[in-house]
Amino acid sequence: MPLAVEGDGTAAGRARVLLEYTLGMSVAVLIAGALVFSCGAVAREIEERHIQLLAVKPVRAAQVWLGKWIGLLLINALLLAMVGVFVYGGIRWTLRSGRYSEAERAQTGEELLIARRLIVPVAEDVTAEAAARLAQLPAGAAEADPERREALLRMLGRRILAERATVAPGGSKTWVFRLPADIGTGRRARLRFRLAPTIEPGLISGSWRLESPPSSEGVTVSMGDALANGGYIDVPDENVSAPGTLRVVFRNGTAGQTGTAVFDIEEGLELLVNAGGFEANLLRSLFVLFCRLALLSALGLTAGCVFSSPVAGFLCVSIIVVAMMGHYVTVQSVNDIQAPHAEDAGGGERSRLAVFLQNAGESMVKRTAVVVEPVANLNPLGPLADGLLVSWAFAGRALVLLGVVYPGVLGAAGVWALWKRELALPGD
Amino acid sequence: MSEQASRRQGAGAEEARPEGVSPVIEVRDFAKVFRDFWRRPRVTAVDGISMSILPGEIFGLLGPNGSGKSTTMKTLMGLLRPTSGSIHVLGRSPRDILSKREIGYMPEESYLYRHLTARETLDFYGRLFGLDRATRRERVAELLELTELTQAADRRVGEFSKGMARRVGFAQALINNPRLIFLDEPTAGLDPIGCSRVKKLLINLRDNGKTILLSSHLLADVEDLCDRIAVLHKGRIIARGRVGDLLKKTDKVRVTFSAPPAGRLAEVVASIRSSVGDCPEMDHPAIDLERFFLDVISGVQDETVGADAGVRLPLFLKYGGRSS
Repeated sequence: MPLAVEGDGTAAGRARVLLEYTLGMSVAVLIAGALVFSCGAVAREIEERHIQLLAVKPVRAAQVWLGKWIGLLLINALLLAMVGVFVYGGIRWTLRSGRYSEAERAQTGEELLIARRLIVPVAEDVTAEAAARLAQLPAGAAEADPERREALLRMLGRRILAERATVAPGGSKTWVFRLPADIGTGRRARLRFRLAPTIEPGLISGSWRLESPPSSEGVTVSMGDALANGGYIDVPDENVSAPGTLRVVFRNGTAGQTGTAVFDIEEGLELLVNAGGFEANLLRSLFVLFCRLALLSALGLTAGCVFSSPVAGFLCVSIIVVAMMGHYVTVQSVNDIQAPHAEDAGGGERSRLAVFLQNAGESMVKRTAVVVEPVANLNPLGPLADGLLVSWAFAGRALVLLGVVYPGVLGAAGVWALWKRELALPGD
Repeated sequence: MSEQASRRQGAGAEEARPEGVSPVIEVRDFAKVFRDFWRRPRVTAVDGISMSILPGEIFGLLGPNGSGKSTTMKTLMGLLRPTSGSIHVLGRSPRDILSKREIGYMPEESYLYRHLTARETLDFYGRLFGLDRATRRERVAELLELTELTQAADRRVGEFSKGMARRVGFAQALINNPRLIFLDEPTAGLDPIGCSRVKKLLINLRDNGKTILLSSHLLADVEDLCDRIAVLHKGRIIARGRVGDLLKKTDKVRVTFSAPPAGRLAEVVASIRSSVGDCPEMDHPAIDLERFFLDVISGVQDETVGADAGVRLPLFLKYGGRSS
């Protein structure tokens, strides 16, 4: 990938290719490898009868499972280390190659090859307004079943947020950031804003005002300067000294001089505070990826304790696909309204079947979400490629959940299956 | 019905056990039914057998293919679970870890890891028994010498011939100085010299207090080795007992004497005929083919053929030797 794809021609683009695509693709290959190795680790031993010599020795099933798992972890660690060295070396070599200017390299270092803490503004409460609008809807919509009412409220809430993210000429929008107590001092902080993709940034003028109540000191930055800075606004150190709040107000220019500014609903404005170096961030990310591979190895190993290696592989791939689809549906259902039940479209045998299938699907997604979402949310690749902090707490959660709890449950199941199973095949 | 036939008919029944002797293996009404994926019974491999194997004997399991020998052996080792009945090995369940500490198993096929050398293989299995490094090193060296694999100790098992691989399998069955040894076709694939060595070794092990359960199709080897046998057919024991007792023809007598001078032989025959009324059958006694082969080979080799040299057990396998 890094040999074939240059990125957007900038140093940051090249580094992003290495971080997002090369590392991502390499991890995908490692995942496939982890599944192949782990599914066959016990299953092949049973099929090739090696386990018969093992099973007559004073070795417990738990020792067999654990020994295999640790062996797989060592292989995963070695391969992941090689990938990490390649990616890191590629990035450093790229930046030192002389193809990019000093300014580009500095910008890449500031925006990508760094670990920044992401602080989001206080969420706007749209519940009351959404309920009020729901009450104004034609009769019937508000009396729908609780799930449908919930979905309508979510939709109305997003609509209200979208309206509030739109700043007409002469208007303003305010964000408030609550600064955590441990933010520290002397750390460089920047605000990053994102306009909706359909908006041409050059047409927007106005100003940004940064304040830290109760202090009356504030900073004003023009929109032009902020856009020239790549969508970033530097925040003076005194404005991010904890504890306290940071209040940011955008005032759009006057009509005739500016267009309507529409900010991204989720990432309209974010506060980024430098929290560490890229190397440590990369190491923590690799550690989290290692924990994910550990979980997959445990899954394949347990499947191999029950089924033959091809069946175990198929089962594991199926589980992963279902989990990914469930995660996608879960993420989408936060934003989108659910599809109307088929019975609304006009009854009959077919629609009852459709309703049953839809309900079954929704039920399955909800049930799997309890297990899948914690795992899906522990993915470091996105933050790493965005220069965001992969914290020790994040790595610790990954270790506990992906390295201990889930593999522990799978391991217990695998050990039980191995203990229960007859290890001599018929016909031996 | 001949006396022998009636003896065989009754030989399916279990013999009386000597008093005060606890069997090493005790099987009561053991049955094994293999089921398919949907738990439907498909094959009754063993149909209610009972037997006891006493300490310090070599016990043979015989039977045609599909008679239930392998199923019985594997259940005794804990690789299969009995459908019904009870099995005790060394006083415990076959799946008990404590039982497995004192068991050695040599399978019919080589189920060894092909990527390990002979030395690594023995060391690996020695570690599974919890042997310390010094003990492992010593035993590995002794077993490699016993199985004549010292020169090939550092070659991978995947490069071995079948006979060499079986010797490694035999060595790993002894690494823990087991009390009870399961052997599945121990002499299959071995040349006559190797075969003779193995038989001498097994007898040596028996004489040093080991109990051996072996399964074999090579009836001559079973006859040479086993103290008692059980013959299985369609999952049942149809004959069992001491080999000598089962094979003896008690209705006939064989007398062997030096060949008399010509002319005197007729007098001997006439005397016998007048005494017993039977015309005796006479021929020159013959050695078996194995003995003949070994004698011929040793006659053309400078040193004593390994098989004839006797087999010296490592100290740890002897009575009073260090246990695992």
